[in-house]
Amino acid sequence: MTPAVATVPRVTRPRVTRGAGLAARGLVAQRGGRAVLHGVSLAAPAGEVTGLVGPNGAGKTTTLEAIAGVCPLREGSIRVFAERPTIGFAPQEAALYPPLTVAENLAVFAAYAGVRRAARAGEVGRALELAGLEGVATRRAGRLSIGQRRRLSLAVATLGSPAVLLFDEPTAGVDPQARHHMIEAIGALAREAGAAVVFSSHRLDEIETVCDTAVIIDHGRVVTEGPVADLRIDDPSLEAAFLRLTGVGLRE
Amino acid sequence: MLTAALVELRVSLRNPQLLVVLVAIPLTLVAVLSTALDPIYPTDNPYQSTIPGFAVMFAFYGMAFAADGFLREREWGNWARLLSLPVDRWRIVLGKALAPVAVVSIQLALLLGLGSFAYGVHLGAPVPLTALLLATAVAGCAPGLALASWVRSRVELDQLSNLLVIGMASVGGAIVPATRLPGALARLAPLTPQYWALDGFDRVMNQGAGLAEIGAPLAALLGFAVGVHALSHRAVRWHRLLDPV
Repeated sequence: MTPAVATVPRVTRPRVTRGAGLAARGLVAQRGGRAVLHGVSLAAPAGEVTGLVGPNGAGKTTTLEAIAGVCPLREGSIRVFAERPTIGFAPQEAALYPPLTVAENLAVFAAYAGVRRAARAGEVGRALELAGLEGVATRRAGRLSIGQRRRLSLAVATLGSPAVLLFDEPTAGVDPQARHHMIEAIGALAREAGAAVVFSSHRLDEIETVCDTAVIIDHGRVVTEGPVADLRIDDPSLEAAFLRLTGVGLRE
Repeated sequence: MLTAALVELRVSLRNPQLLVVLVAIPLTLVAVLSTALDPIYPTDNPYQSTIPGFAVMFAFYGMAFAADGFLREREWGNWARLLSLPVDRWRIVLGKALAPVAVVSIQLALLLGLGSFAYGVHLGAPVPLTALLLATAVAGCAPGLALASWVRSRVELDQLSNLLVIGMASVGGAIVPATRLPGALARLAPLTPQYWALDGFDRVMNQGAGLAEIGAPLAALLGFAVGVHALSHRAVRWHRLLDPV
């Protein structure tokens, strides 16, 4: 018997332009009056997935929020090299309207993302397919499982086909099936749709699976960065490399 | 702005609490108190006083619903996404603030319409009535933004908004006519927007006033809304209001 395999839809878009993507330089940001980022720099080429890893409180979320324009920067610059320099962001929380249905949530955020009314239905359909939520399009978001909410949140970030996609721990709390689907979708968004994807996670196996490069961050600073294969070259695994670089002491 | 207003409206209309607070409770109070307290009302038909009285009183719960709209976004974690979108944040704030005004306008129209249909309440000319209704809705929702930035939870919001709404309605003559209030309270009544809303409805519904004759109530209500925003602008903790965390 052949096991059922979740299919991830292919999204056709123009090929990646050389040099396109995201460049964040020297990001300095505060949170609650406390300095959280101390000059984080990050490059995410279009067509690739860049992993952002670090212990709790390292500054991953603040880095993504700063790039997304949510957290104000004290210093630094963010540049998106693309024909349409737009950014899609899936925050750590699902960030949805629970009383609205899945399709309504997508339609609302498509409108916010600037998708024209005539194109909105098609965009909602594409996002439903990406999230694998076609069967629950009329269900209220508040009644979805955690995995479904996470998939919907991820799909919302892709509305309007932004050049840069930022996913903040998108797979936290989801089951292996949903995680597999999301990891496949994240890979497809970069490699098939040509987006520059930055993806934070505590799951280093996910980083190894889907990311081309990884940035390890701690105490608001980049500890090391490079192709995933290079980062673990002196260690048996990426996790071993991560623990060597960030220490084994408990955080938060 | 329109998207934010429509989303807020759609979310609000799916909240059953809204229907209970804005419509069911005032109608219950009207039904119970109109005949019981008939002698204290200046009009021959007590409903001619209680319908606008309780409609105005509960219209000011608009401030709680306006504030709740901002708290909900915080609770659902939506600010982080909304602020990342290519939309000016103030358009979102304005859109969200407009929706409760629309809801309260509908509430006032519904209660006045039901009063006319079920209790024979005379409504007066439609143009001044509509102008007054909209001005009351704007005044009723005006403190919402400041409230949302000051309270830390829905419990705090409920407590503070109940205090403000019931307190101002009592002093403003929405429950017992201002003319029946004890001296000191009667002198305070004109300081409340409810007093001016009721004065306006009295002029339109009982005295046949046109738009020109309700200039003072309209100015007082809109002045209250502008004043609240102006006074609270510095007090509003904008960062906290839009805090994504």
